[in-house]
Amino acid sequence: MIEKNINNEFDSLFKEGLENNAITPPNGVWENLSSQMGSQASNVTIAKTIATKTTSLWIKTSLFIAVASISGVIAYQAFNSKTEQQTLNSEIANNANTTNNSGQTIIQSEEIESELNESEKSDNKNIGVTPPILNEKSKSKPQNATHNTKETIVIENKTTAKESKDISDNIDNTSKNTNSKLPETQPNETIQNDEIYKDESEPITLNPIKKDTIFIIIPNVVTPNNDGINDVYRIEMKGEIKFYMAIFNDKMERIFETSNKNNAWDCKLSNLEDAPAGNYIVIVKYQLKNSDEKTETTKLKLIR
Amino acid sequence: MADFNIETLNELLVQCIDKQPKAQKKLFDILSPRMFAICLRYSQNEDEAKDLLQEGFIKIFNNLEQFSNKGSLEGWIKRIFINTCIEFHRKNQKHRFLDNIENVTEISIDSQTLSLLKKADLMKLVQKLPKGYRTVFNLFVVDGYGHSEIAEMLNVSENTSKTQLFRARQILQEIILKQDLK
Repeated sequence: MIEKNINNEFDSLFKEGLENNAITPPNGVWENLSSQMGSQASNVTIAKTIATKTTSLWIKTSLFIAVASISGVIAYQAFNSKTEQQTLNSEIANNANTTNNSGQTIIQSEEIESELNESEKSDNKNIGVTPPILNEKSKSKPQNATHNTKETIVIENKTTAKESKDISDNIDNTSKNTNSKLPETQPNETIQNDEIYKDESEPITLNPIKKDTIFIIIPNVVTPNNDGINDVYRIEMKGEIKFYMAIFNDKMERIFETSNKNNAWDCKLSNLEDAPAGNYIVIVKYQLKNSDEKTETTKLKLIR
Repeated sequence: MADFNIETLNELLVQCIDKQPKAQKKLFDILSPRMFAICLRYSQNEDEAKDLLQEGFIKIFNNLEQFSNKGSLEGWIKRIFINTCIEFHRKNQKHRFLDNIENVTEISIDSQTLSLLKKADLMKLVQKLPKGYRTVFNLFVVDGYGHSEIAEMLNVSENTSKTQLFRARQILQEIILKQDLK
């Protein structure tokens, strides 16, 4: 009973102190607000019905403009990536043509590589492919690498078929020479070429993650520095039936647990102090659709 | 609000529905101190509260015509602001899951210490609560909602609401004791 009285006293103190509080907001809030409502405010003098009509017209026109500009950008990018690729291939051809000595070829193939790397970056931006997927694919068939260069260059320089044969022979030679020293990087880049050629026939179709896929991602790092990236620890998953997560510190004391995948750990201890940087252990018990229940233990690094 | 007579207020509302900037500014000036106080106690700091205030007013100006004169205008507006705050926190969810009540050690605070707290301290204390606790504490203690209503608003179980309230009180008491306001 005494406890309840204290609670009541405590509560009423806060209620009285806060319920009818009035604090004038700082300057600038109204200015911000009115600028956000700007489009509506400009229609003041017009009668209300007309105002609503015009706003809907505005929306329509702006939508149209947006669609038009987006499609323009896409077309421009597709064109760009094409032309870039062509120039690149001709560059490869030039480089390969001049290579006879094994010493030179290494340097030049490195040049090609760096150029390819650059183009890879820009192409990734244009097409929206995430690098990990490409890596996976390139890992899966590294042996075909030299073949692919041959093919792509032949396709590219159809008009100069004879030349391109010579070039591809040259490239075969160079890759044989350089294979011992550049065993993995060279094939990767050439596969990259292959990927892009596929894209030309059906652009912007590579979606890294389908919306309805079932997956779980257990991150192993969290950086609570309020930069908006990995500030809280959360398991990303879809298609789960069961879920439970617990986080332990290095003394194996449980500091967080949840059975809701949307609940994130804000890197605070139960006494609300910030959890220190260091290693933590995450145990996740989960069951995804069409599979058995699993328990996974992950080392989590907290960096401050 | 109290010093405003109903007729002028109604007129003001009609003008606001017409989206007249002057009327909107007037309504903002009348309402903003009270609503800012609400936003402040539902948020962590002033910046967050400013964002919430802005968002709430945009909602009010855009939906004013939906207000039916059944309830009080202030109650309606207050509810919109509270919902805006809850929605904001749902978007940036950081709810911590709780230990059972049994596991938590009891701390009680004597009324003498409480009497030393000032109004300004109260706001700071509430802002120090973690989001989940803060929301439940505000809804239950200050705004007078019941646990079942809170459960519905936040889409949690009634028990969660109770536990969070319990923990919120405890955390507040801990902070008060730590600060040693004497």
